[in-house]
Amino acid sequence: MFPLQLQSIIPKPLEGLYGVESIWGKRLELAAGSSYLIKAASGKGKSTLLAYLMGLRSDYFGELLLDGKPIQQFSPSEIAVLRANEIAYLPQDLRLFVHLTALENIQLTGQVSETCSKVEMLSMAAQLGIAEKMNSPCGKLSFGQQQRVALVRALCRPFKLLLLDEPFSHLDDDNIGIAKKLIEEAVEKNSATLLLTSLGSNFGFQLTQILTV
Amino acid sequence: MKHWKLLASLLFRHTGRWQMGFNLLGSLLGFLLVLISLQFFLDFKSLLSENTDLVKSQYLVVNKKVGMLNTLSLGSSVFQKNEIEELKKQQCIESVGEFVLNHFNATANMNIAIAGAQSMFMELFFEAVDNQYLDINPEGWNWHIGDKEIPLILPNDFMNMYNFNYAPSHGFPQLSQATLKWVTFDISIRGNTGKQAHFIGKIVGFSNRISTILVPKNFLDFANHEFAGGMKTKPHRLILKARNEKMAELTNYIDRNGYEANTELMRNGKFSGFVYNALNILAFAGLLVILVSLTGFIQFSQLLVSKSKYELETLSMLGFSTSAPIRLYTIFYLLAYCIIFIVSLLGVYLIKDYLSTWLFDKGITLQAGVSCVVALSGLGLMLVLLVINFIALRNDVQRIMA
Repeated sequence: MFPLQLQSIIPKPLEGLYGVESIWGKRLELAAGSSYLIKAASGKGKSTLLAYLMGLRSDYFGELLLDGKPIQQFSPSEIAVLRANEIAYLPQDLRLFVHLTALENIQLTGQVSETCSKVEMLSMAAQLGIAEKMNSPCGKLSFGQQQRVALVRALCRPFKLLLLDEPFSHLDDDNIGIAKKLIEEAVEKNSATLLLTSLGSNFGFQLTQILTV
Repeated sequence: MKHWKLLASLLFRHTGRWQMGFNLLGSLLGFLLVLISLQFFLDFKSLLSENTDLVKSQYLVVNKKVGMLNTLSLGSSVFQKNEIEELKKQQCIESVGEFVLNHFNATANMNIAIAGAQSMFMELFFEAVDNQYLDINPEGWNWHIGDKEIPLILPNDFMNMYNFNYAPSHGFPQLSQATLKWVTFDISIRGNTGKQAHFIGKIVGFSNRISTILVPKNFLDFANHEFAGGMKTKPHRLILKARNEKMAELTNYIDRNGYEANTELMRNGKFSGFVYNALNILAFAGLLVILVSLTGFIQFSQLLVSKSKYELETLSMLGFSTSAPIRLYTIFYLLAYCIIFIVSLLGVYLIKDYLSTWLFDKGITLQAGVSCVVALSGLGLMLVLLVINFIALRNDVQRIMA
């Protein structure tokens, strides 16, 4: 799917509402194995960019190319394969199934082969302090706990691109540190590209580039 | 399918049990109505083709109503040529036979006194009609010029009247059909010109269909020619060969034109017409119920899919293709329709079994079991409904997950 090229992308809702330093309307290439932070205040289109990369939204001018092919030309089944095997995504609203247990949420993936054993899942959960919550319905967990469940779900998948939308918004500093370590390990294991959004901090990640929107 | 249990718990968690129950019940009712109508339609059709008592109304003797004008000789009860042509044009009528009447005087003298009874003398009348309209074809039913013996067919009612009314009140012995066939009559014929001839009458059979004294048509043609100078008149009575399934139409036509027919046969005709109409209405109602329940099912599945919008979108985000949910929903509908199909077939079987017993007591025998045609039609209907449901469902899921 690499190189991943943004060619003069401008979200239709933000037309004329972005600054000169913004990536909107510019040409940009995201390389394989690199780490990027998208830094901006709320409402500038950070989550929107991730939704474009996931193929969830297409309300933009310009073109978004995956390995030279506009993402809008991908068929629904090709998109499904991409999401199952190449892109892992942690959305800001987490998108968990509240009546399923934390473990069931983590296990429910579209790809055919297992990438993470149950032991690995439970080990990650334990490191993030939610091991005892694994058999509880997600609806019963706090938002911070749910955020950690969603992070484990994203990391326990095969990916070439990891999209994390403000993944630490409800975590304390200790958990942020542990989460960061787990993210770095997973990215390294998958030789993947990381795209992280944040309101300001870079959380100590080794970054290839900081992008502003 | 991987995670199918989890997926099922996600996709059907918004399903209302009552709502689904009513939908299933509606579809079941529709299926049952359509299949039972079809089954009875087939049974009834085979009954008609077997010519049972129920439908001896293939032949109908009609005449014009006799009113005061006829009595005063101002009206005519004969059928005009155009009226006969009009009858022949009716789709419900296969053919029309005209009755020929004698135009000479005929008297009968029973020349064998039976068991002490006095010999009987009576004025006679004859009628003749083409053989194709007779319900019997007895031995000896033919006449050739020169034959002295005339075969006669008497109405069955005549036998009954003799045996149960005339004979007991006059102290005559009752006679069986077989005995009467041994009895011969002297028949004297005298024309208007005074020409006379003597024949011997012999009863060869008894008719249920036609209430008259029947002689072979060629005899009556010959006798009318010989003794009435070839006088020809228009017929007073006609015999109609009618299509069974159109009896209701025919009885309406007869009523409309002021004709009269054998009332019992008419009633049978009306009955068979009524049964056909009832079955058609039943089948139509069944199809309506199926259509309504199909609409219900499609709306139900749309509701099911739209209520699961969050789940479907999230599954799509997690890399599930549309095929997994579509497959699950399809399996659900396949199961639902299979249950509906099997239960309705069972229902048809039980209802038919019950009705067969009831009808058997009334002297009507239906073929046992559910017809193959009904089972196959049910299967076909099930497949059509499944395909329609599948297409509606697939479009909805694709719209949400794409």
